[in-house]
Amino acid sequence: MSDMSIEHAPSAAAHGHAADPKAEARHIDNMKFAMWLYLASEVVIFTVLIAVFVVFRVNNPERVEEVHKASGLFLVGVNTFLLLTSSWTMVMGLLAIQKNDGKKLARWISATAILGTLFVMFQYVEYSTLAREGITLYGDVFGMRFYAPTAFHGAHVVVGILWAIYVVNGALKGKYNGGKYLGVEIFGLFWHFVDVVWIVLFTVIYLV
Amino acid sequence: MADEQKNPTPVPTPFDPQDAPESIKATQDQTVRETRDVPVEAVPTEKLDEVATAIKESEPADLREGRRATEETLNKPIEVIEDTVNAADMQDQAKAAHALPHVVPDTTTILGMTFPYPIYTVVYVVLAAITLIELVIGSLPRGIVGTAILLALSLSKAVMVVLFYMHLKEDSRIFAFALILPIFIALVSSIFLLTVPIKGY
Repeated sequence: MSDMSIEHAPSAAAHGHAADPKAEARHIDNMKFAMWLYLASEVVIFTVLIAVFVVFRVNNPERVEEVHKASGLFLVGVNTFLLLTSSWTMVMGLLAIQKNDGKKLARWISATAILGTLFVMFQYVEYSTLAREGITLYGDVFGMRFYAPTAFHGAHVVVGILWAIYVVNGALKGKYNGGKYLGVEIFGLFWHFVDVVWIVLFTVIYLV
Repeated sequence: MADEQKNPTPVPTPFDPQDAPESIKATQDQTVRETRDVPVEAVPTEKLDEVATAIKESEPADLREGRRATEETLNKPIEVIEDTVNAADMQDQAKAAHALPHVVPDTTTILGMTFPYPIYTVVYVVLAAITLIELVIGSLPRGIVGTAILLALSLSKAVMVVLFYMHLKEDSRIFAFALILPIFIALVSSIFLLTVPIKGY
């Protein structure tokens, strides 16, 4: 893959369109903007869920502190590092394909998928622990406010893992190269967004 | 115009474009405005066909001046369009250069120190360090100061990921609105909700 005869120098024309750099730039900008608009819709959903939790947190501080004691910080701390690291492997994968190394891209994004999978597994362990402590979806008013944002986020990680597998498959088939990697970039936007949401959830739900 | 309709045979070119006089050649790569500045008299007489020569010779000097003035007025809208197109073109070229792949270098220099890693790795180390600090503060007894520090650290982490990993630092700032606007509205909504009494009177 890395010894493909495609020019190393990033060429806009290699994105699969006619050799019109202006049209190509517009296409890339449009695709990225479309992704950002989609992320904006996600922001709306997540901020509503977080706002609901914050209002509950401010009005019921004792209940939230009880839950913090029950859950502990270890597992969620590990999960935070897993997701943070997966964001780093994601962006290193992008750097690899910008340098026209499809094999490295596949390796980095595989690491991203594995870290994401570990995150979801640990989230399952955490949910089980909390359930044993009596914190369930309908246990009390806290349950829904806690599980809705974290599970909705977990679902995004699952979608991200599937998307990562798709990107790895494309990378192994030589779909991307040093001048054509918009698909990797768009996936990166999604994955980093999921990371940003976790940064906020981690602080608001588990730390504060 | 009427002659052209009666006689559809192609109008002969007064000269071969490949073998055009220097005065014409010079205008070939110019804009409409620049080309218009070259008077028709600059074209050598022997290169013009009979009709053009006849028109040129029959046109008195004062009429010619009047025609020039009319043409100039009529050309104003063309000039406006030309300027607009040129400006848009320049912008597009700037944008195209802007959208070219931005590959970060393999080393990073911060405050005069050079690290043998790309900026992505440096950012990762900083994010991990902040997370460790957050975990330490989070395990301490909570107070208003601790909460404020935690929220500030969290915000700085989120901003770093968005700027460096999601490339908002180089990409269009319009993308930032997609994030900031809904967050702002949610903040205002939360403050509204917090003013609602939790129990009835």
